[in-house]
Amino acid sequence: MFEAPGRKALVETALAAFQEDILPALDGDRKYLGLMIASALSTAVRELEADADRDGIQRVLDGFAGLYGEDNVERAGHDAEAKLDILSRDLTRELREGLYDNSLTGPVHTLLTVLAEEKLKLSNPKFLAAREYSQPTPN
Amino acid sequence: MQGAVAEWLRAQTGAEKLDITGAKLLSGGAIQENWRLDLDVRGGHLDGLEQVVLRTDAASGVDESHGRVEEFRLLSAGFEAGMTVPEPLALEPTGSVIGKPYYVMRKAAGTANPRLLTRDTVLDPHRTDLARQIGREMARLHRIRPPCPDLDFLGDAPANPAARRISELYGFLDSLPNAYPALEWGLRWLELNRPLPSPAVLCHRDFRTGNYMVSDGALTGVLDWEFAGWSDPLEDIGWFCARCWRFGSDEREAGGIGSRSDLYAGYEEEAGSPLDWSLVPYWEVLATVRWGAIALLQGERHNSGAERSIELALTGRKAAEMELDILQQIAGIERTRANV
Repeated sequence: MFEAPGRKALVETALAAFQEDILPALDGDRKYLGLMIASALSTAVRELEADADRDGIQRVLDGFAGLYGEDNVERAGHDAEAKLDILSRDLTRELREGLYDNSLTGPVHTLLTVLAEEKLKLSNPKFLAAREYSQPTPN
Repeated sequence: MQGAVAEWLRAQTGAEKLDITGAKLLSGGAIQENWRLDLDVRGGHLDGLEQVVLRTDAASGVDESHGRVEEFRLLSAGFEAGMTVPEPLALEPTGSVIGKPYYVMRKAAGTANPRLLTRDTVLDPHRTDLARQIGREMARLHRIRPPCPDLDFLGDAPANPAARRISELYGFLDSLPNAYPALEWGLRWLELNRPLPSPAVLCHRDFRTGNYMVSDGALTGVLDWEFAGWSDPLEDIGWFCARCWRFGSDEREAGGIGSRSDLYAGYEEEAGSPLDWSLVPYWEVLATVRWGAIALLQGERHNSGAERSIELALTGRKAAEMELDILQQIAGIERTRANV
């Protein structure tokens, strides 16, 4: 916060050192653990980038505006994360009540796809590029 | 503790002499501990046997899975039905020997490592036979039908297995602190498209690559029975084939290890008739929703502080992969229907 390097640069540097100098020397269970550590740090770097650049959450809120109207998304609150939480709960309840039964593959599908894509940009961008499930996966 | 286990196993198996000469904790069990025990046995029905596996609970448990006593009964049921499973040898249900229940089984040869099984080219000449063998194993398992007094702990068989599964999954989602509209959307579709019920049979419910051993191209043991229960036989097929369990080898639609047609052919050969294979895409969607919900429950074990673990934390974050997969699978099914 007060000094350089900042949080993102620190995590990136730690990740690079780990991947270059430690990961290659691991095998078996420790290799598996090492891959998980690298994966967690990579996700953390992308999350820190997303905190600085709010495009992702805005894209999801725009998607909700397409379904509910701009005004209703505005009314859901001030903070973007809190808004997303409230809107997701509303949508979940409406789905269970059957509000979209005749149009499951319509606009609600488009919105949910945007939401899943934005989550994946942070947790596993490879899934978007090549539908590649993350590795390592549990045994 | 080794001495106590050795004496117990000696008495259980009628050996004159039984020593445990080595013990190694095997990898890959977050919920259970599996110990390989090296033995020196003389007499009794394990005479000369060199290795067994002792399976017991790890420090943490998952509420929805069976305990070791029940698992031993399930493994025994599979063994008696002629499945290739590690032969169950002896059960200690009271916890009086090592402080928790455990059982001992034969050690299956080979590896269960899904990355090896889906990618190793050494396996390529064996993939047809392996997929067929897995189909036959499932058909043998599905011959076990209720009522079955040894498995009374499984409760009543559901009249409508898909409806039972959907209701359980709603329960899983409701237990989470956040909302997951894509999984909810998938569940709604599953509810609206529920197939006509077929009679419930014994299903493994976690029969996937990673949960069976393979040696020299052949299956040597179906493992991890703790989620077994009465269900639609297609639940096992859908779980095995779902893309989330192909470990990146998507083109091999049967568990990343072989072709769907070989899996089905093996099943039909053993069962004498096919299942309604046209319903498999439905059960693959259900499998993907289920794995998404379980992944979130595992993540929540970490998030809630109940059990700190990097593996659990990352598993929770995997759920978004299943969410997009569900959206794409269902859109594909609906497109196909619209074009018919």
